[in-house]
Amino acid sequence: MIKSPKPSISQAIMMVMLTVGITNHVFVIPALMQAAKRDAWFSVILSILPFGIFTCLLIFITNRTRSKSLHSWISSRFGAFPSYLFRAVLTIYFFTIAWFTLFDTITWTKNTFLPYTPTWATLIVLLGLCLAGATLGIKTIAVASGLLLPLVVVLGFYVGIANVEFKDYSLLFPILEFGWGPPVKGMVYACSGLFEFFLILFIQPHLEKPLKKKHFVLLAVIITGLTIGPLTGAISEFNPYEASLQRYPAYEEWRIAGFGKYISQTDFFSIYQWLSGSAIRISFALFAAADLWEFKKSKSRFILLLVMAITLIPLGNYVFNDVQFQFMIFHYIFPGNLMLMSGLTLLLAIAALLPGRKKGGSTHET
Amino acid sequence: MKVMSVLLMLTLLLTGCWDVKEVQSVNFITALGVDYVKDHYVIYAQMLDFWEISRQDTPSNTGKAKIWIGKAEGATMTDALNNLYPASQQRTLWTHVKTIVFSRSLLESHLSETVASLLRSRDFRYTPWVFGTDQEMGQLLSSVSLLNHSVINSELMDPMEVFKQYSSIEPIQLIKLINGINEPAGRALLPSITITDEVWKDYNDPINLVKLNGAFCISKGKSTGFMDMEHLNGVRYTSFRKMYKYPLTVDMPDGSHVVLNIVDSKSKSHFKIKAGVPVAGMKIKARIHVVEVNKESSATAQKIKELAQIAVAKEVRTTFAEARQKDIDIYGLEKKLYRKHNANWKRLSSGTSNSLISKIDLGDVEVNLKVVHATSYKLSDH
Repeated sequence: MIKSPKPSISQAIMMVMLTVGITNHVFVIPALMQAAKRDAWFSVILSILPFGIFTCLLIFITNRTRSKSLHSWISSRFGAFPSYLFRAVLTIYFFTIAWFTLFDTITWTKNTFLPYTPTWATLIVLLGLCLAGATLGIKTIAVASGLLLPLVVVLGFYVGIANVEFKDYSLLFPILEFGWGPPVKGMVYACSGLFEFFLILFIQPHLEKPLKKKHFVLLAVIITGLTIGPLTGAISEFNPYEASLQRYPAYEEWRIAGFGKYISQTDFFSIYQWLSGSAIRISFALFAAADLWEFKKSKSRFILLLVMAITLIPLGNYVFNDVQFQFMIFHYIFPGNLMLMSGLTLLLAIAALLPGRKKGGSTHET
Repeated sequence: MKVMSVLLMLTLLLTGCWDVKEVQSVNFITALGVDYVKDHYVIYAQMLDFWEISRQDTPSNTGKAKIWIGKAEGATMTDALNNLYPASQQRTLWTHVKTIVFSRSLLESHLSETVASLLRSRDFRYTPWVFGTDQEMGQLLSSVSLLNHSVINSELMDPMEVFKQYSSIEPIQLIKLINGINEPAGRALLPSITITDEVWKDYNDPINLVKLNGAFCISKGKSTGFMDMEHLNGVRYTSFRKMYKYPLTVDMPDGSHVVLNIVDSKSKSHFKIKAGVPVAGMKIKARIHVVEVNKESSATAQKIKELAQIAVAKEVRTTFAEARQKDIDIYGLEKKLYRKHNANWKRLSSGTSNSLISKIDLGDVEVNLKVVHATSYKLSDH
């Protein structure tokens, strides 16, 4: 049935929607609400400009690198050392992505619908699944995305529509009540989520055909929409002050959705959405980290994946508590990710502008 | 063999369902009453057995609806909830609470802490209906429904049914009550519920049934006052998210009465700032169904419309004035000012934590009604 060993473009789009989507749709919302309150949605509007520029840079970089993976492109142009540095930094980055996705998912599970189930149980089941995904490779992850995403989207529209009765869009105003400070601060988090589009650089080399400009534009629009949706939802359904208190605003939107007199609770659907997103995201992050090192033997690749997965077990729930986690994610991880992603993208774009090394200068070229 | 062993391994996952809840071993609380007495919280939990809930469409004559009321006290809301558990025999589950009733003393002092504690606990949702009351809680929560239906079919648990026929005061859910708690300049109208045994009788035995009798105005986390049903006329035309219908009686010049239903009333308000004073203008649009006209009456559609417009405008003004006298922002005008004229709102509200309503004037009230039909009998146009 599976014709090509490489994911198709539509599978790649679905994969990005799940991996990047869950950040913008779920993880970033509480931070954004905390930083900008009522102006949070306006932060996203303001972020459209930098995000547009960022997308152009990504298009430019992929045009230059084509189907070559970034690290081999770097080593062919600038030598081995920059390439190793790049790999080391990104391995940490991907590991961090896998970690905070896992942490948030496991805590949410414990906090909401499985309070009596020990976290090690959920942790090991989810990690086992993601380890399998990462080991089997990007095609598996992409095909799984194609299977999971359609229902995730349908359910997303369901919750948006079912909650219309609670929406009061006048709550979005007044904007700039406390000046430009809050929306600008909110932009850090909005961009930190949006700029995860950066991950496309690590998917692109694996695809059947390279992505075209229109695919980039389509994805950029989808990612922005994925941020705006639950954000305006949370503000208009609750109110900005209530929503900024909430630990899981996107999930709270599920908790109020019901239909008719006899079915008053449908939040269990959110479990499917959340787990689809985080399973694909963690699998991809682990895969991408291992992919940087181009192991010759699949055994050594598996060992790296296993080591990462095992390290994630204590980090996934035991080393930090949720209060510390929220502090870290708000003050370090989102701002740090933003700096890393925008800094690297800028560097790569500049590197792509520079004339490349002449033949023979590279140590890794075959 | 390999496949089989994998499948067998998978079944291991099925055994560990730590969170399984068996319905027969859970106390499902269906309604909660919260009172504040002197210095502590008193809660009343209402529980029905499953048989009651399942009786929604099969009324029975085999005895009265059965309701249990649990009562517990505590220094904080959570303490009070916890104090209910020791004597509750089984695990208690709050997530199916359909209605929360707050006493007047709680509304005046500790509403905001109570709601914050309910929502943080994650045991409660944002969706229960909320009411205020002056009644004794235990009695209110043990009121019944007609025909020995399940209590789930009473106005306490399902207020929308009555509201669609008779939109006297709009029922709200907890999610909208919080606008009156933590939204600056927000206000929520919390319906007040009471008990009456005067209307329906069971073989001449009066029975206790609930009915709505007014509204508490909730602003900045506490009740700023109570308005009873007779003084809420203007609210029906202006302040509901969705107004279905409400009767209006108009007196014709010849002395006859015409009864109308005002249907689907919608309003808009806008501010003009005159010499620093915000003046609110209101525009009301609604439809009229003529439901009762005396045979000899000279009433025509034109005349009815004209008089009804005057009557509605007058009611809107009267209600506004009566509420303002009590310092109640009955139409929620302050939040409009906050959203549309934020600088003026800041200027007026700086240095005061009181409602701004005393600084707001009501200007033009423009009423635009449309006679749609005269129900089953004919009526002349002019």
